[in-house]
Amino acid sequence: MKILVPFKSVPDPNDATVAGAAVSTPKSVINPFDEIAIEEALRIRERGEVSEVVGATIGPPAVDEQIRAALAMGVDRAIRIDDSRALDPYAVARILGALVEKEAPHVVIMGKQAVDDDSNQVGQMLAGLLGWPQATFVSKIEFLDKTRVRCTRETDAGLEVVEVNLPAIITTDLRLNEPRYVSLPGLMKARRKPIEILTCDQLGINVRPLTTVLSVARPPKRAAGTRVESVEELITKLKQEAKVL
Amino acid sequence: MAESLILIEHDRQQVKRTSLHAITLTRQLGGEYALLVLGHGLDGIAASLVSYGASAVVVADDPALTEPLADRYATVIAGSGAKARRNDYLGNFLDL
Repeated sequence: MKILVPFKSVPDPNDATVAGAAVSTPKSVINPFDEIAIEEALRIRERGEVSEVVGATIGPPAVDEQIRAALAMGVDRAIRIDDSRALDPYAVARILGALVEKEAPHVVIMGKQAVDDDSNQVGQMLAGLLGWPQATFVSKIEFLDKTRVRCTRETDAGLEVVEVNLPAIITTDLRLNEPRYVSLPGLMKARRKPIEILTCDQLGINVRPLTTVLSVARPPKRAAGTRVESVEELITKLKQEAKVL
Repeated sequence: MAESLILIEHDRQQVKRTSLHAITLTRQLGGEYALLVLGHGLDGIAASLVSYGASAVVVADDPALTEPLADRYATVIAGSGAKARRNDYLGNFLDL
């Protein structure tokens, strides 16, 4: 059995420079939700329930750094679809769909969304394109046998338990696990693991984005608060300035 | 023929508030609209939808649709849209 874990390179959400000077370029990392997906796939392999974990990403040669990080965590081999265009979720889902047809994994585990655009669409679209069952926002995965997986989903109303037949798409939520740190031996091993480079042509697909991002802007800045001396002053301000009383 | 199809969300008792936002948005966009509701045992909810000015209320009521599972729902929604050749789909995801 084989698990395919697609992952995305995103600007490091913990990089303090992102919020500060606009000139700095934050370093790229594996999307945190995808890192959780990688971790879960590795744990499933370590329990002996699958024999191989294959990583995949889309991007220019620069994302090889994140691929090496995934290989260092323990992913067996990786595939990079060489494409440097700004792709929308549907284009990404179509590329991954073609890759799934080629690799024929039993399970695809991926983050529920990327932290850079928060689209939360690729997993669902991929399931739709393949006609596979899907379990999204998953916080627990149990393999019942070689054909069924039980997943606990985090929904607005509470925890929902679903059972899906394999092959299936599973998208991960934050509480599924805590990803491991990369070890030095892991890093050394990662250097010798293969990265296969493919193009959309080689996958036999022609994608073009259906949506275009027109602009991205920071939310308007909020003015700093002020300290009031007394309750009376607070009430006066609430009445006259905020006009909420 | 309705120009928009609005997917109505519900909690099995009543229509969720976000669906009302979708109806208001459609009215602002103009044109006719139809409402689509999926689930099982929907008589009460379907009756409550009649008064929202839609050109049609489409009810997909089946035991297989009791639980809101994405693959089944997507098949029904896509099918109902293709049948009527609608231009827009309006749904909502978050129950705000």
